[in-house]
Amino acid sequence: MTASLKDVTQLLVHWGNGDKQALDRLMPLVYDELHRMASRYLRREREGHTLQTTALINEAYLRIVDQNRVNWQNRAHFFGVAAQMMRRILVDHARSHLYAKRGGGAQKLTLDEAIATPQERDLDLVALDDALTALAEIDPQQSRIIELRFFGGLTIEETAEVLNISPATVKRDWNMAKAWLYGEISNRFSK
Amino acid sequence: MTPQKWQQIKDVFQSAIELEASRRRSFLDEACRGNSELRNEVERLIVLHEQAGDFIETPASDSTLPIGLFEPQAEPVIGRRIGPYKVVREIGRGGMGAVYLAIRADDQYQKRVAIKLIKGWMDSDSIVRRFRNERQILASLDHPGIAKLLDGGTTDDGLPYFVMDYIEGESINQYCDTHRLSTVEILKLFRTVCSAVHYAHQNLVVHRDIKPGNILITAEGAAKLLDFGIAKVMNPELAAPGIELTLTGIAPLTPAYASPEQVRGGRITTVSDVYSLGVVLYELLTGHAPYRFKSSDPAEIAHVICHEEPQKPSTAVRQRGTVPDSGESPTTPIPEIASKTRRGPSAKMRRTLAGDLDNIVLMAMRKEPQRRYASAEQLSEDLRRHLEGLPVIARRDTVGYRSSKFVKRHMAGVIAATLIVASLLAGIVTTLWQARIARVERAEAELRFNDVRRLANSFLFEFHDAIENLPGSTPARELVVKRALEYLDSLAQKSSGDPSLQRELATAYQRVADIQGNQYSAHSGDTTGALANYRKALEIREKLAAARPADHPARRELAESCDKIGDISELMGDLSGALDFYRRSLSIRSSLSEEDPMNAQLRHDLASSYDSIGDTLAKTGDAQGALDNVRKGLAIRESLSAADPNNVDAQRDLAISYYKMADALAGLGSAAESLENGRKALPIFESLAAADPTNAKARRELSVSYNRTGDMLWTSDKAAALECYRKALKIREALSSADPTNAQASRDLAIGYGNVGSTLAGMGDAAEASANLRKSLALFEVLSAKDPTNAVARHDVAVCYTTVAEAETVLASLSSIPVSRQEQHWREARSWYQRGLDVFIELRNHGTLRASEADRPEGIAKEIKRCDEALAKLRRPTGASR
Repeated sequence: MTASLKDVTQLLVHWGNGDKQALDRLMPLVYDELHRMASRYLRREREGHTLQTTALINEAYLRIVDQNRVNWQNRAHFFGVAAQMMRRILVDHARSHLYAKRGGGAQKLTLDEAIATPQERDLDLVALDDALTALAEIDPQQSRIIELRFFGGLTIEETAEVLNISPATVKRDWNMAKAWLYGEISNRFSK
Repeated sequence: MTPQKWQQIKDVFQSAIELEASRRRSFLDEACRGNSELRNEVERLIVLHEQAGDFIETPASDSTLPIGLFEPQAEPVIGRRIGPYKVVREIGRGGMGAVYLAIRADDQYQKRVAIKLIKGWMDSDSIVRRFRNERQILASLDHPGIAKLLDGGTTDDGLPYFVMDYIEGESINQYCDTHRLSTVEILKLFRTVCSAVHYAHQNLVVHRDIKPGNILITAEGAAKLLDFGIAKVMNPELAAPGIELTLTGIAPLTPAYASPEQVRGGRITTVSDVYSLGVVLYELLTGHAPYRFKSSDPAEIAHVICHEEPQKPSTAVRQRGTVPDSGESPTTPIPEIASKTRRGPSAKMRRTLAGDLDNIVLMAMRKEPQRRYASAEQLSEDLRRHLEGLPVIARRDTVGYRSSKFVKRHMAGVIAATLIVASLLAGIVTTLWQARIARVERAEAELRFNDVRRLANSFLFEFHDAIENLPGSTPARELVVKRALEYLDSLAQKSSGDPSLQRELATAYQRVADIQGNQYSAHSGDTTGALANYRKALEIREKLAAARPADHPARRELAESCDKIGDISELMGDLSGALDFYRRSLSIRSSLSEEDPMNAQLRHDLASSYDSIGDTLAKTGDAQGALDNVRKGLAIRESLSAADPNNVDAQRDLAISYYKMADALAGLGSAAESLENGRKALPIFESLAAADPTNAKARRELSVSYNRTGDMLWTSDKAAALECYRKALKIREALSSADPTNAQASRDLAIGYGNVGSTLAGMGDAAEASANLRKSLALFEVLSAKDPTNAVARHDVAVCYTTVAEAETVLASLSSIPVSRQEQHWREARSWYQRGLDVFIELRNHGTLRASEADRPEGIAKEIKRCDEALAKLRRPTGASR
C-alpha cells in the first residue's frame, strides 16, 4: 500500500489544526492512491465497466484514512482534496488518452479504428478543465463547487458540507457556473 | 472579467433566474439600469442556463470509458431486435424494467411474444446464470393457465431479458369488475387459477409474486398466470407505489400480497403462494384489501402482515371506505367498493360470504404456513365443496355443522349421517396429515437451496436499488451488506454439518464480496471487505474440496474463489499476490481438466486462467510471459471451437483471442506473426455473421474485422485492402440504413466511406476517391454538428478534409485533363487543406491533438504552399509549362 493509513490520517488532522504544509504533503499521497486505483479501473479491458468517482473516493477514504481518528471536518477536507485530485487524474488521463490513442501507429492516413466508441468525453474534460481554471480566477468558490460535484461526484449537500456553506448557496452558484462553463465549452469551435 | 464585475453579474443573475420569466425583463430594467454590459452578460447567462440542460450534471467519470473491445451501447428499444424478436411497442413498465410486445421476425406467421427487459442491473450475468439454472424447469411448465416462458438471455448491450407468451387480457380484478361476475362465477374462475398454481407447485416451481396484475383473463374468460418463476430468478422490486421495503434486509415482493414469511425473510414454499391466492380472493370477493397500512414504513407493514388479523370478508364487504355508512343505500359510489354493483346489495353479499367463504379465505391467509391449506389444490377443492354445498375443511369441525350441511344435501338419508360424517372426517384428517409431511419435506428441500441463494440474490438487487435511489451515498449500501452478512454468519453457525448448505453459503459470501469489490461495475468501494468475504468463501470451499477430492464441482468452485481473490488483489495493486492466486486457480483447473479432458467448460475456465495470468504479466512488464500465457489460452480456445463449431460464443472467444495474440505480438515487435494471428480472426467473424444474418452486432463486428484486415494489408497490397474496406462498407451501409438515427452506425459508415476513399486516392483513382470521401465528410460533419464538443468527431472532420484535399491534388495532377480543370482541382485542394488546417490548429490549441500528429498543421501548411505554387505555375502564360 503506497499511502499509509497513519500518514494520511495524521496529515488530515494536522491540516485541520491549521498546519498548511500538511496539505502539500497530503495531496501527493491522495493523488497517488487515487491514481493507482483509477488506472487499475481504466486498464481493465472488460466489457462495459464503469468507473464511479464517488465509489472510488469512498474506497480511497476507507483504505487510507483511519476513521477512528478523524472528525467530520477532516472527512470533509479529505473529500475536498480527493475531488481536486480526481480532476487532475481524469484530465491527465483525457489528455494522454488523446495523445497516445492507439499508440500513434502510422499505418496510413486514416480515420480512427472503428472499434473505438464514438462517445468520448475527452475533449469535454480537457476544455472544461481550462474553463474551470479561468473561472477560479474570478470566482474560486464556484470553481470549487464544480470541481467537487463534477469531478468528485459529491452531492449538493456534501459539497455544502465540504465548503462550509449552505446547500442553497451551492445550488445558486452551481447554476451560474454551469451556465457560464456551458457557454465557454460550446463557444470553443465558433471562436 | 474582474471579480468585481463577476460579483455584480452574479447578484443580478441569481435573483433573475429565481423570478418567473415574465417578470425578469422589468427586473433587469431596474437592476441593470444604465449598464448594458451587465445586462448583456446576465441575459447571455440566462439563455445559457436554459440551454445547458444536463451538462456536467453527471459526474465526470461515471460514464463508461471507451476502452473495451466491443462495448455495449445504449439504444432505443422500440424497433430493435432482441434475439430473433423485433420489438414493436411497450406494454408495461415497472421499477425492474419494461415489458414489450415483440414479434418473431423470422416466422411467417409472426408469433407475438412479450419481452420483459430488465434495466441496467449491475450483475446481469448472475440473472442469466440463474435463469439458465431454472430454464429447464420453467420451460417444462406447460399448462393452459400459465403463460409460457419461451426464452431468455442478454441483449447485445448486456441487459437480461425474458420472452413469454404474449397474453391479451385484463387483470383478474378488472375483469371481475368489468364483467360484473357473480360470487359463484368469481369462485369458478378463481379455481382455474388455483389449478394452474398447483400444476406449477407439482413441478416444484413457486411463483412468489402472485397478485392480480400477474393473473390475466383473456377475452374468452381463461385465466393465465404471468411471470411464473421469474420472481425467483429476478427477486424483483416492490410493485406497490410509494412503498419501499428495499432496505429491510430481505424484501418481500409486493407487500400487499406477500405472506408473513416473505415479509420476515423466512423460507418461501408453495404455501406462500397459497397465502397470496387467499389475499387475491379476499379482494375479489370483498372489493377491499385485507390490510390497511397506515404508513409506508417497512416495519409497520411487516408488523401488520405478521400480526394483524384481517377482518372477515363478510365484515369487510360492508365497509365503505372512508365514507361514513349511510345505511344500505347503494347510491354513493366509492372507489374502493365500486365493484359492489356486480355483487348485489351488501346485505346479500354478507350472507353469501359469512360462514364458508369467510373461513376458506381466512384459512388460506393464516399467518402460520403450516395452518394454511397445504396446497392450492386443497384451497380449490374447498371452494368446490362450497359451490356444491358440501362441508368445507375450513371450519372449526363440529358435528352439528357437518350434519346441517349433510342434511341439506341428502334430505332423504338422515339415518346414514353419522357413519358418513365419520368417514369424511377420517378422510380429511388423513389428507391433512399426508399433505403436512409432503409439505415439510418439500419445504426443507427448498429451504436449503433457496434461503441462502435468495438471500444472496436479494441483497444483490436491493444493493442495486440503493445505488439507483441514493446516488453518491454509501450508507444504504453498507446497511444492506451488513445485514446480509449478519444473516449469513448466523446461517453458517446453524449449518456447519451440511456440505450442500456450506457450498451455497460459500456462493453467498462470494456474492457479497462481488458487490463490495466488483471492479467491473458499480461497487460499494470496499475492496478490503470484499477480500475478507472472498476469503471466507475460499475457506469453506477449501474444506469442502479437501473432504471430497473427487467432487469436481467443489474443486471448480475452489478455483473460482482463487480467481476472485486474484482479481481483487490485482485491483488492490498486489500484482504478485494476484499472480499467486491465478496460478493456484490454474493448477486446480489444469488437474480438473486432465481428469475430465472432454469437459469444455473446464477447458474454457482453464483458458480464462491463462488470460488472467497473461494480462497480469503484461502489467508487470513481462511481455514474453504475457505472450506465453495468451498463447496457451488461444490454443485451448482453438481446440474448444474446433470441438464445438456451432458454439457461437466459443467461436467469438477464439476470434478475440487471435486479436489478443496479434496485440501481444505487436507489443513484442513481431509484426509478421502479429499479422498472421490477426488474419485468422476474419474468417470466424465471417461465419458468425453468416450463421445469424439478422444479428446486427455480429454484422458490425464483421465489418470491424474487415477494416482491421484492410489496415493490415494496406501497406503491402492496396487492391486487397480495398476489397476488405468495400466489404466493410457494404455491411455498414445496410446497418446504417436499417437504423438511421444510430450515431455509431453513422460514424461506422463514415469511416467505411473514408477507408474506401482514401485507399482509392492512394491508388490514383481520384474521381471515385473523391465521391466516397465526400460522402464520408458529409456524415462526419453531421455527427460533429450534433455533438460539437466531441473531440473525436472534430478530429474525424479534420482528417476527412485533408483526405479530400489529397484526392483533389491527385486529380489535379492528371495530365489528361484541361488546364482550366487542373486549376479548379488545385483550388479545391487548397481550400480543403485550409479547412483541415484550421481544425487541426484548433485541436492543437485545445491540447487535444495527439502527439503523433503534433506537426500535422505544419505538414498541411506545406501542402497549401504546394497548391499555391501549382496555381501560380498554371496562371503563367501557356507555353511556359510543357
